[in-house]
Amino acid sequence: MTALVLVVLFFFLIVIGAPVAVALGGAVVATSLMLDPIPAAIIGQKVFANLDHFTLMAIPFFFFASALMETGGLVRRLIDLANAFVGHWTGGLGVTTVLSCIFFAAISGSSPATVAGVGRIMYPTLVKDGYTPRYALGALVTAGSIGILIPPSIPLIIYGFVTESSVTRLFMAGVVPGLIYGAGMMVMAWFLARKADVPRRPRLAWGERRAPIWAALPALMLPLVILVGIYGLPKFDLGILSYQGGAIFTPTEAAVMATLLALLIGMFVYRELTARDAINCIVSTAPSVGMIFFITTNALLFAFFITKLGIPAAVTGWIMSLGLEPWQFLLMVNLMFLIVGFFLEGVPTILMFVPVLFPAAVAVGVDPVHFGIIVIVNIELGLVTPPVGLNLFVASGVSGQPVLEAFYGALPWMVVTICVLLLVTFVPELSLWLPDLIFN
Amino acid sequence: MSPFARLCDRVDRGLAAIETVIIATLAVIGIGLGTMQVVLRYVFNTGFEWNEAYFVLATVTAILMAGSRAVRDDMHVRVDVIKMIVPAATARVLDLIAHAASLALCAFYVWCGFLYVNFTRAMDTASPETGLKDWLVYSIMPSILVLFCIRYLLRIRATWLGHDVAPHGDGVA
Amino acid sequence: ADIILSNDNNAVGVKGQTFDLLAAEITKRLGDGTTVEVHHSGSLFDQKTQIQGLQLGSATLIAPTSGIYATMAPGVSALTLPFLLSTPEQVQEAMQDETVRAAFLPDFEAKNIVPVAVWMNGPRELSYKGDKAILLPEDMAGVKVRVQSVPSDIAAMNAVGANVIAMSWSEVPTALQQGVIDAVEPTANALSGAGLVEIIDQMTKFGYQYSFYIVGANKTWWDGMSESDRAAVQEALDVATAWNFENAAKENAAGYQEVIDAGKPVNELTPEQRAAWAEAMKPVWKEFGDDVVGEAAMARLREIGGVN
Ligand code: NA
Ligand code: NA
Repeated sequence: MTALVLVVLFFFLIVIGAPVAVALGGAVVATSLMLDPIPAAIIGQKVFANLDHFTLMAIPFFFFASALMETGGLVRRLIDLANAFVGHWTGGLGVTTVLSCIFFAAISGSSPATVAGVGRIMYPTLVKDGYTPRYALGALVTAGSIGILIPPSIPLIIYGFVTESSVTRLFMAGVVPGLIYGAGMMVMAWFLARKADVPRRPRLAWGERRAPIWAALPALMLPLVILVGIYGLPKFDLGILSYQGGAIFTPTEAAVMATLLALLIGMFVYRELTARDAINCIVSTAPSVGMIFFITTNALLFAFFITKLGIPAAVTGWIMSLGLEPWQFLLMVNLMFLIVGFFLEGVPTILMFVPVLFPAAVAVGVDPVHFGIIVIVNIELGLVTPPVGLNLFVASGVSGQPVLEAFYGALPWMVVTICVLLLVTFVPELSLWLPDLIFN
Repeated sequence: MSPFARLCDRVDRGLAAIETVIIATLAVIGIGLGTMQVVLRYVFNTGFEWNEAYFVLATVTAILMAGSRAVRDDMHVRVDVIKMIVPAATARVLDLIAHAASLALCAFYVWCGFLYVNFTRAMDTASPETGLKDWLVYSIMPSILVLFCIRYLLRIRATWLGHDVAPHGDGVA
Repeated sequence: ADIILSNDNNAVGVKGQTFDLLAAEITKRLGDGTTVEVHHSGSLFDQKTQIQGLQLGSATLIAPTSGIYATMAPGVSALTLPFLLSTPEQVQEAMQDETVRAAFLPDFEAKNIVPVAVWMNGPRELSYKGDKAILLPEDMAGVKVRVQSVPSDIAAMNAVGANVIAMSWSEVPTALQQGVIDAVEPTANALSGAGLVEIIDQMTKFGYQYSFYIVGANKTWWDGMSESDRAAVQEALDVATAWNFENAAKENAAGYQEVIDAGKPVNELTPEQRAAWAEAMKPVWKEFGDDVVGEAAMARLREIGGVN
């Protein structure tokens, strides 16, 4: 009964267009006032005392870093670099788009930020070169979603926070699926361009490639610093220069270092960023993070309430009673996330559903890290499905094309997303091989 | 412009200025403290226990402040499918209800936060790392939620008058 | 539910099983009219927020590690001062001693908590990466060690020149593997429970404190029960506690064995080496002992611990 009222209120608030955070918090508060009182001070505690968590602090800084990369000219130089090598292929500019998304994803923890960062430069370039708007939109919205699979990844940070799994390990697990996804996207870029017979760019001579390589080197340092910082290098000893091996910082510290480096490179190496630009960039990016934090805090209250009602335990018990094989359970989870993904974006999806599904997943024997990657690929799919698909909205904003146009463009590319989802779901080794190799 | 309209406008600008200054200052402090932690650990092989706690405090405060800005810019994600298919007048009514619900929740949280702060004050606990009293730290968020409330009031007024803000930006996830 | 037990550890460890047993024993004694529920793995309140949850009545019984109470009752820190108490018997004797209790009980009760039982964790040992054995306090200089955020623990590690790193426990396995930290100081059972045995290179059994849990009850609930109900709950607590003592020791023994079986050296200290550690960390006693609980309680604790 209480649970039913909770769900009805939640959907009512969603339907009238209240923010997701308000729907979560408002449903709990109203239900608790009517049926199952929680002391007001406990509500205060749940809402106010849980955000000061070191892991969550990675989120703003990965945001700042990617915004500064775009404003400071780092993204443009990475794109030029990719273009210098693959621009002359069939569908070369499509492949450049995918490669640029992969590069950018290695600093950005957000897919829409990846679509925006790469799209603002690539969309006009693609169209000017004779690619159809649909091709350009499709490439951007689907390849852009790689931003949350290749580390760093904000949804993975939230997942690690909710399930108390190691964020470093989760990051590592996203690398192989991310690269497979990227490879699939490049094949699709070639295939669709060949079908449409898009004109090719002339091949650059090696001499002409030198300039973009030099220009991009400082920008390439950023992903390198993050990766080496979080995962470390093997031991080496060259006399004067020796290194014990091992990582240098936690994901949160890596996010801060990435912000600082993007700032320094943009200001002093490329000189495209003034201190004022940098401040503007931070102040205009911060509200997105404010939104995530407000959802997080409301979701924590929501999770507390449903735990108190015994719902996660009941769901776990029910799933266990079905006697599902892990693959059947995961298929069910995928279908559920597909439906949820029509309406919700990544962070709220994780905050609302993972507390319920995670215990069940562990109970049927799914590895927590593997489950995290499955959730992330599902979210990638949700980002490109209407009616609510953030990547579609962003691409539409960047291109001036309607949202539905972006979705039609994305349809053929989504074949890759779905293939990767199935691969990741049923081949746990894809996710677990790298972390196991590194950590054991 | 009526005196009330001028007041609303002034409140809006004043809030925006406060938000900008606090977000920018605290974000820079956060970068500084985060960098300091890494540098001290690796270059000087030392560190302060309070470093991380202050880093988190500065960052969280900046981001919550940005949450208030997000109310102004309509960046708190919502599912506005229904709004797209109903007539404009109905959409406006729905918006008003949604804003009112948001305002009510934020106001209720301010009250819960007040009770919670009072409770932690009575318990008189302090952070082991910084020595700061817990109630001081926990009063930051309800205080910022007061700003959320003001922002929602301004938006209700704007929606009522039919000139609410533009749609939200790049989003996240 | 009438009685809500909130466990900040997992369900499968000895502490989780003790909670389940306690729930069953309470139900058995109070009958079906009373509902008892157990929430494991910090799903209701995490380690940090559980005390407030208890004080506000949203949890009825909790069992955090003693240091967690230090922010509201600084006196409890005295029981885990380095090289003071070192066996379960000593901990229990100290917790029942009138002079020692006077140092923290008033704080507990003033803040709506009654300490109703003590459960055992084990001696905290030093586990670390690296080829070089850490046998003397000097060996700790610059070692990046993660400790809980309990002021006396931080001070003890600072006293031997270690580089104290705060970090959430869920990040510890990878941070240790990757070299962000070099050392940790949990009990053997926690080391094994977190899957750290494979990661560490060796362990030094220095046992710098004997870690235990204080079972706290919401005072309003505890005082509000009828005389007979309270006696019944106390009986249930006694049964659960007895089981806990027996099995905590076994769980720790299994933890050490796991380290040995993994082929990792377990270094025992000579009495002289142990004395050197005790000497190096002893300055902490003044700030978190004498200055907080007073000299009488400290004298009693020294007597119980058999140290000076
Ligand atoms: Na990424
Ligand atoms: Na969607």
